[in-house]
Formats: sequence, structure tokens, C-alpha cells
Amino acid sequence: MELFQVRYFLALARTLNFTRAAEACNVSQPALTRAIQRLEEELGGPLLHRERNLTQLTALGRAMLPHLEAAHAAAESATSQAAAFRRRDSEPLRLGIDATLSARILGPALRALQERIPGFEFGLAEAGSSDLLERMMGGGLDSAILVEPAKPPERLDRWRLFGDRYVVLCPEDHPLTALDEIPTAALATESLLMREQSSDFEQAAERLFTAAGFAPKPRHRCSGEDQIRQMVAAGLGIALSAEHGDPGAGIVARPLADPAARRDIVLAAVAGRQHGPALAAFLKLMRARDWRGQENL
Amino acid sequence: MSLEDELNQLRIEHQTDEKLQVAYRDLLSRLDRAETGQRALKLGDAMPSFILPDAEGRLVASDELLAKGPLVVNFFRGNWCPYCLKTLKALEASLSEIQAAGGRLLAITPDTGRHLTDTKRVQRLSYEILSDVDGAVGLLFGVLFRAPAAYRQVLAGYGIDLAERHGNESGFIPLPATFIVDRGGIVRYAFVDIDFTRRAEPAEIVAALAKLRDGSS
Repeated sequence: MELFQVRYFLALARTLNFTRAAEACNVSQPALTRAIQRLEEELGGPLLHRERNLTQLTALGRAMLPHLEAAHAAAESATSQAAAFRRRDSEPLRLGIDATLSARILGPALRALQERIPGFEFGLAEAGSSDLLERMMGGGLDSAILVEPAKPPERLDRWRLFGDRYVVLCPEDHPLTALDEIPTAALATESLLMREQSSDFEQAAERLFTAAGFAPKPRHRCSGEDQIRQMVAAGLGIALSAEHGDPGAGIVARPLADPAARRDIVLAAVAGRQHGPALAAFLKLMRARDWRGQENL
Repeated sequence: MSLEDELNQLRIEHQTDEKLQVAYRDLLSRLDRAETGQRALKLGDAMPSFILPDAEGRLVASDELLAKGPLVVNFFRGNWCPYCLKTLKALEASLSEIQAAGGRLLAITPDTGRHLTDTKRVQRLSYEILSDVDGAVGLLFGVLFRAPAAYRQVLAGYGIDLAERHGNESGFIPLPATFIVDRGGIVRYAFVDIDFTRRAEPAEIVAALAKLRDGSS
């Protein structure tokens, strides 16, 4: 596969017209056609079919389009990336992370970017996954670490990073800490600290409990992860949280025994948007990382 | 034993696996028809610069490495490929000679995540392993291709899931290829073969580096 073949194909996919694609690529139509034929040979089938005046992508063409777009975009930016970094050409990287996850998940990637890019800047937002998703689709965030959405928008690229179990946060001396895993039923008799009802996490937890035939009764309501942890440490009750949330002083986490009590954590970015050099590097770092150490309790 | 001897042993072992042989011959004939790799970087070409993550989670810039001396850039498919493993280990065994001849070794793979770190750790490799996420660098070097469906199916039969390894469903893998690039970024040695059982011999790489260093290339 050659870069120029990919470029010609992308022009064809955009224009659906051999003449206009050749013009856009500054080559003769026969040259473009030949290049596409060789690409088709390599990809294993026709990428376009022509019916009278109508040129359309085949199923293979449609399937390969996003991969060829990704490879092309990465190739085009590769050569200019080093120069862009030196020129401090990057906008601040706007990231988001689900409020129930520890920001430390981003630490190594951000440090690698800081080491590589002079003047590197990032902005980090913390919110529920549905909020982060909305902000991303609206152009307010470049990328986010989220809980896999139940109904992912079509234009969202997602890459699974690791699985995340629901855990129970208890004070260090709590009897539940004697167990390796907590059965859902054990929560019934506890003083339960919960987040606001509108929180994504509590809504997901509620769905989980309903499926298990359990209706948790919140004793107290808190705002945000830090308050939850402080109140657990102060002995006001126990709380549900995420395995990859921040730990807290004076508290212990134990996973829920229910095998359904887990969620997938994904890296997300909007598809088809031109990625700046810092964003491209960030996504690569996150996708290349060995997240395996993250998966065990 | 040279790397070629070791690879030949593997070829002989695999000869009895009929399914593998059919897939192998099919792959080679497709790559031949598609002229894959025929426009790969060759002697005198300028290497495009790139920045990729390594197995330690750092970003590695080719420009920065080139400033320190010639690079030996080795593309490999992944630690699922026994020919790749033999090659990676042979390069490790020759590493001190490569370095003495002035070269720095870089291995590039489409693998990501635990496959990347496992390769480095299990094979005890001390040189840089970079992850070519989405295949841009392979594409720029002219060695990238899409593994045909039949070949992907055979691999799946052996439990090799390219989509999981790469973090995408493209099926893009590189031809195994080795390039030596001088400090000016110019290619001074290129080994590209559509036959994945054939690899650049480390002794040849060392000799090419020595010629470069001695200015007689």
C-alpha cells in the first residue's frame, strides 16, 4: 500500500467521481484509476463500483475508509509533528476524565507529552461520562476517558483501555473488609453514602441493583468523590465506587462479588476531526500503553 | 548458526502444516500481484520523520535519534510470528556489534499494549520497540499491507487476534523490512521482502554499518 494510493482513494471516496478526484490529486485519470486498481488488488476486492453515471463505495470500500483515513491522517501529520512541536504550534490539549476515575490514569501519557513537546499545555475536565460525551461531540473537548456509552454516537471513535469493577469503600476497621468480595445483599443493612441522584455513577449502580433484585436506600447524599471518601473515612457509612477511582486515606476498597458489577473504560475522540499533533500523540500513547496492571484487584 | 539457518529450520517445521502452507502461498501470490513493497523506501531516499510511543510509554522521535548516529529500523509483525521472534532475538544477540559499528536499533510493530511490553520483557530485548499505532510509519516506508481475509482467518485459528493486538480492525501489517538510515536521514541499506520467512541477516547489517562509518559506502 502506498500513501499516494490511499490519498487517491480518499479523494474518490469524497467526490465519488474519477475526474474530479484526479483533478483534486493533480494526476491524470488513468494514473488514478491504475493506482486504485492496485490498491483494490491489495485490499482484496473492488472499492468502488460504477453504475452508469453513479460511482459508489462498495461494502469493502466503506469498511476500509475509516482505517485508510486514520493511516493517512497519521502519515500526513507524522512528518510535520516534530516541526509543529518545536514551533509550539499546538493548541492546549483539552481532555476529560470520568469523575469516578483517578486522574492518575493520565499521568504517564501527559508526562511523556510534557517531555517531548516544549510548552505543552493541557486542560483537564472532570465530569460524568454523559457530560463528557456531550462536550466532546460539541467540540469542547479533544478526548476523554469515559465509561463505555450504552448508545455510542456514530461519530465517536472508542478504544477499550481496561475493565473497571464496582468496589465498596469502607472505613479500615469495618467488618466487610474481612471479605475478599462483597455480595450485593450485604449492602442492605449498611449506612449507604451516595452521590447526587443525577450522577451517572449512581444511575448505573441503580440499574445494576435493580437487576440483582436489590433496592439500596441511601442514608446520606454527598457531592463528589472527595466528599464521599471523607465521609466514609469519618465513619458515616460505606459507599460504592470504582476500582480505578482515587484511593482515600483511612478507607479500604473491596470489589462487589456480582460478575455484572463491572464496566469498560474507553478512550474516546470524535471521528473524522483533524487531530492536532498533541492530540495525535496523546491518543497513540494511550492506545499503545499496557493497561494490564490496571485490571486486577 | 546464522539467522537464515534458524529461519530455515522454522520453514521446514511449518512445511507439514498444510493449512499454513496454503495461506502462505496465497499471501505471497497476492502481495506479488499487488506489487506490495515495490515502492518501499530504497537507497538514496530520505526517511520521513516520525514520533511513536515505545514499550516504556515514552514518545520517541526519529529526528532526535538520527542526530546521535545512524539508525537500523526493523519492521516486524508481532510476537505472534515465530520468524519475527527469531529475528528480534538474533538482533539482540548482535546488538553489541551493531552498536560498535555505530548503529542504533529500532524495532517497529503494529502491536500495542501488553503485546508490546511482553515482546520486550519475555524476549529480553534491550533496544527500543515502538508501536506504529494505525500504521502510518509503515505506510510512509511503503511496507504496509492489509493481511488478506484468508490469512487473517488462519491466524485466528491459532488464537492470533490482530484487531485486539492493534486496537483497530484494519488488519494492516508491515512486510518485515530492515533499513539503515544515516545521520542525514538518507537510506543506505534496504531489505524488503514479501516473503515473511526471509529477513535481513544481522551480519549484513553490521557490515553495512561498518562501511557507512568508514565512509566507504
